[in-house]
Amino acid sequence: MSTNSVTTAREVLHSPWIGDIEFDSACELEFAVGLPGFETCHRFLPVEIPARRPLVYLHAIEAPDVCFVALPVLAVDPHFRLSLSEEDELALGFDPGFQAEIGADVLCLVFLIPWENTVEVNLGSPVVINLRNRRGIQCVPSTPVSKILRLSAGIGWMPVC
Amino acid sequence: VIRRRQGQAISIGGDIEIEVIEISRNRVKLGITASRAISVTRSEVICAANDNRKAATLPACIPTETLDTLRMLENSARPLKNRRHSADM
Repeated sequence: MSTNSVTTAREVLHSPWIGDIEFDSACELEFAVGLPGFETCHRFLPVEIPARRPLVYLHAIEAPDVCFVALPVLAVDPHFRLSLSEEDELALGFDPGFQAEIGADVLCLVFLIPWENTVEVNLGSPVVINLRNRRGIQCVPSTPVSKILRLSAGIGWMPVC
Repeated sequence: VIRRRQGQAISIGGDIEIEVIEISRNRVKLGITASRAISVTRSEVICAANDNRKAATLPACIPTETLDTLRMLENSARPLKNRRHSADM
């Protein structure tokens, strides 16, 4: 009997950080050129743990020890405006000049970077994922627009001068 | 310093060639020919790579205070209608 339904493979990722994760291959994200510093990692799985919201774990599938802890950029800065270069638009599969809307067209994350007893984020180099084709890139602007915010315990995000 | 025009190239060590493909008002498009073993990247990507290497160490050691503060921010960011308000109780 034939069926029109699309079948996707189920896999298990053995994460030393968040345990075994069974996932559908349709859930994975494709980073064609990897991430800076991790150019050989092309497949990533976004994992959300309800008790740890709003954190998003971006887990490499090919290298289970590679995992980033991220936040949706709007959870850090509700006024964040996404700016994509022509190369970024092309890599994500958007037409030139397309105004991608966070939440509707793209998922936009920032990695948490450890700093002493807290964490920082750099809003200048967000990870952007096209929600329609699940292609992702890390935007690294040619003109550095480093905007670093540091989490101050019990207070919130503070700009780093 | 070597001056080049569009369509001209320079060679480095005989194995690497850099060609000026296009010049616009404030940008230059370069074509680089090199062996696959040579990493070719924009300089600013190196800073992002260093940040990412640090970020990849975090899953092993997320400070509890960080999680508590993020939870506090998440709760305070919820719309008012989703929060319990003393006047409604």
